[in-house]
Amino acid sequence: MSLLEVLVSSVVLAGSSSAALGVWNQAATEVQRAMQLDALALQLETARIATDRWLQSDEASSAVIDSSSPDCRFNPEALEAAVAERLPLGSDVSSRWSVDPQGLGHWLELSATSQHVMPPFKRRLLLSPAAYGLCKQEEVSS
Amino acid sequence: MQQIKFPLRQRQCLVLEAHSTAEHIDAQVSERERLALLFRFFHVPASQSGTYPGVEFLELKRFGEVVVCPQIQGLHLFVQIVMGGQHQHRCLVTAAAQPPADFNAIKVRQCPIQNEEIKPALTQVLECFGAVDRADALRLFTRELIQQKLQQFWIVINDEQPGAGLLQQGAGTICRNPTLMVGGMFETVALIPVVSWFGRRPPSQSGFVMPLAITASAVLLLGSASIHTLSLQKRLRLHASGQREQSADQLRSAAQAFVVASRGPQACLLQWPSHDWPAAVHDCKASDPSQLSRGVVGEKLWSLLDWTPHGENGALRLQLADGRTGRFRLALDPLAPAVLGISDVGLQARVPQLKGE
Repeated sequence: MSLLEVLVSSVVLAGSSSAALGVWNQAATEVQRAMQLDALALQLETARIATDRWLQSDEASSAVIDSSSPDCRFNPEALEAAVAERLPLGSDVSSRWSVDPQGLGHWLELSATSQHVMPPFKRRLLLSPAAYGLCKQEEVSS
Repeated sequence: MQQIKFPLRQRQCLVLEAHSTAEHIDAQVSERERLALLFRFFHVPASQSGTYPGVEFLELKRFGEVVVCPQIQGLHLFVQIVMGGQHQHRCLVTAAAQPPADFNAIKVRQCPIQNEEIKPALTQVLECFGAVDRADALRLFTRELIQQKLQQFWIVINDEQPGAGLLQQGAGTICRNPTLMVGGMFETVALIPVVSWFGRRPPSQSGFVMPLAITASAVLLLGSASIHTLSLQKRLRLHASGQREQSADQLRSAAQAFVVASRGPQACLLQWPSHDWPAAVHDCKASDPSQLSRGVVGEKLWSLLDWTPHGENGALRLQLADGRTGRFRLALDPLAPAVLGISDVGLQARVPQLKGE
């Protein structure tokens, strides 16, 4: 066992240890980020399912329907207020309603932002009152 | 190791040693059979051409390969030339070396060496150890060999210049090794040790730090590589799950668009399966099946694969432009052809289609 052998061994060991530590650190960061993304995805899915269930329920009355329009369509302000009131979303989740340019309904855009997840997580789906039987009630009531 | 004295007749001692090693010689028959055949082929040549074996030995010595000044080779074919006390090629008769009668018992596989054959014979030697020129140098040399516990020697004797007096000096040392046999007159002796394979190198004196460091480094790197692979797998799984949710959202939006399109004149078509719509157009006035067959939602093209009403429910299958397919169950109003609700999407296998339509 010479001095040269000890030196070379320590250099090899130090290099591999630093490389392994770097990789472990990166892997830990990746796992933490994946767990946060999982949690955000779950929050978005919960918000989507809650909105869908609420629209299917009897509570979604014709109050969310825009009565001034000849077509059966949502009143976005009333819909947003009702959803925000009845469905408390998580702190990281925000929802936005926008009118479909073809008049098919309204797009619900759910987005979740986190400081560790840079590209914000988004879900976007079209909702129309006809798919929940709300237009028929409106027609019957009118 | 066997201690032997030579009171009067050293020759007898040598013969006894030869007998005791005869079995050992037989065990090596297979190794030297080829060489023996080669020499037997040149058994009694009338005259020889080429370099004389002694000269070859001297040349080898000059190259430092072998040890030279040969006259006796223990347990080897060359030896017997000298053991007979007679040089067969040069017709020289040695005065002192007359072998006993039973000496022929171990003269199997012997034949005279031919000129230009020393080098091929020596190529079978694994390792050359050193060289001696004179018999008194041989004594020290042999002691060194014995101390190193070499398993086997070859001794080659040059019988070109036979002379008396040196035999006792050389043979007294060599005879301590039972694998050696010395006879005849020689002036100089070559010793070529054949080292056993396992004893060739001395045990390594290097330390254990380097193998330990390399092993630890390998373990660290392999472990970190596995963990990195796991994290990559987690990321891939997350990405796939995001893709699946996006396509599910697009299919849900397409189903909503289908329901919107099924209002008004097309509502009548909901009572019929989709493959009957061309015929049902006559019953449903002003209906347009093409509006239910395909459409665009959120800049994504969708198309109807199948619609099957079944009482108060209906099975709907839609497909996106990229081939993703989803199945829905629609709740129908029993009083009027209208949709009351849509179930969640059931994702199906991707079918490559719709591109050319």
